[in-house]
Amino acid sequence: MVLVGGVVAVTKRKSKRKAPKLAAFTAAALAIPGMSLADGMDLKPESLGLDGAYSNYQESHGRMSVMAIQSDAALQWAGDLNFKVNTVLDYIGGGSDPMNQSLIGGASPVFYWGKGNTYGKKTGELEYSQATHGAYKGLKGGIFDQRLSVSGQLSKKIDDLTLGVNGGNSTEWDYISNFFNLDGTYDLNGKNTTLSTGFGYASDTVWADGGNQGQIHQTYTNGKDIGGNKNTYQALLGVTQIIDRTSLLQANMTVSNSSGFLSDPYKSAWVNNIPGGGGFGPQNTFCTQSARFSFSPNLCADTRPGTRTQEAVLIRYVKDFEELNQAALHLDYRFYSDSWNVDSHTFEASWIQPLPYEMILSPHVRYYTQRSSFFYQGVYESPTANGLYSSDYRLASFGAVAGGVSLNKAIIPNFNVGAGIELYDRSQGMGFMGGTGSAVDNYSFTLYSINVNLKL
Amino acid sequence: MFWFRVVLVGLLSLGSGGCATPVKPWERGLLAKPQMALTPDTQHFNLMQHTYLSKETSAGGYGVGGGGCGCN
Repeated sequence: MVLVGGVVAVTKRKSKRKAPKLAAFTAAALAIPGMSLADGMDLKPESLGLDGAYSNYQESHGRMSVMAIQSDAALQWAGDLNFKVNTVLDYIGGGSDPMNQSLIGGASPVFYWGKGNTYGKKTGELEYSQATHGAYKGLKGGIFDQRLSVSGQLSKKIDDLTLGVNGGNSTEWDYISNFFNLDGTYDLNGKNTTLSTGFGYASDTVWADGGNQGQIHQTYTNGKDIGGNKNTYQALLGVTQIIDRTSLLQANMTVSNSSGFLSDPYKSAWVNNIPGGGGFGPQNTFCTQSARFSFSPNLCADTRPGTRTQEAVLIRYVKDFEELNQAALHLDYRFYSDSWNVDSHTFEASWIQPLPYEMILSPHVRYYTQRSSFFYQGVYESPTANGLYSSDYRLASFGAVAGGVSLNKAIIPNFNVGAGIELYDRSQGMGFMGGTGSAVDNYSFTLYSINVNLKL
Repeated sequence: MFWFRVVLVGLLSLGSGGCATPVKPWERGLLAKPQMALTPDTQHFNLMQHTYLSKETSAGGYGVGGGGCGCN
């Protein structure tokens, strides 16, 4: 996913009539940072910025690994026109044996073997295994996939109004997304306030890779391909307010509506007490089954509602501490709610500390908690009346703590290198939103990254 | 939805600028520092947002745009 900054005020202006020093001072003084397409690149007019990053993501127990290569190019032209191109290339792998708990692969386990099962687990105990394959890699499952995302942005400033357009494509072996966004901002109150709005549309297609890099699709037992299309509309309304000479506040509200195929094409859920007694045998008659997981009538394909409305409110506060070498404190809070009865809270804090020798140290912490969706169950005790089934751990109740630190250094003027590490730990016990969840979904990940930044 | 509407009213009220003393252009030197950007490192921010989106079910707040992902 490529985010477009929801806000924005590009306030740098080029004035040939001012003396150079005064012009430079004025440009800096008028700027509300972090709101332009060249966000974070600190571009001078008519300059080119290039950012590159390599990241390595590793989940605990070898569940999943991702190597991500990002490259961004931004050009600011004549002070009021911005271009930017972003590319992301992901190599995704993980897992090697869906029946081996120590080698569970994929972003998602899992279905949970029901009570009394006899398939490789202890009878009478609640066990789980990986009823998901991700993009196909051999009969035993595991995940191997690639993603290439390319997007372009263009924005134009017209007095106090800034208009932007963004579009792109993201393609995987089991997923295609085309998206288009418009956003606009308006400065008022002597540029102390910026109102922002945005509209986005995404048209996605998802299927279950059955081999040949997604050319073969997995099917339901009725022969129909698993997957379908999804349409998403998004809207944003926000305001950024300068509080005083050292702090500013941003408040955003976003609403998103999705419709179409919103299920996970790879997962199945285990249902107890089914007609006919379950076990192994003929296909069931009460739910849709993936052909791959039709060996037991207790398994139902992941089936979710066909629509979803998601709403979020984000508050961001930034404060400069001039006495601490102009360090900056960032505090974010987001409340999220959706029509699947998931509510969540996200708290994030970061500290950006300029150091001697042109270095910047940036530690941060994050806490997240969510309530489970109304249809999520680890194991269903009986067939549901609404026909919905999902044991996707992302819809469960849980909490997660994360933290990290990065260090950047300017090697020479206009050339910067950096490195960082992120640690993330998810646990059912760390959530406080209630709902259903399971400790067997607990996991952690580590993400290492290095980056280079060049301004020409 | 009630609370979202309350927040919306709050946003619009905040937008009026009535709760803050206007800061003059020549007083914004600190606000213009790169570390004061709302998103100081956009590239890493995008990576982490994509990661969280694939691991948690929540999304939104920071902006519109972008497509989904398989994220299985």
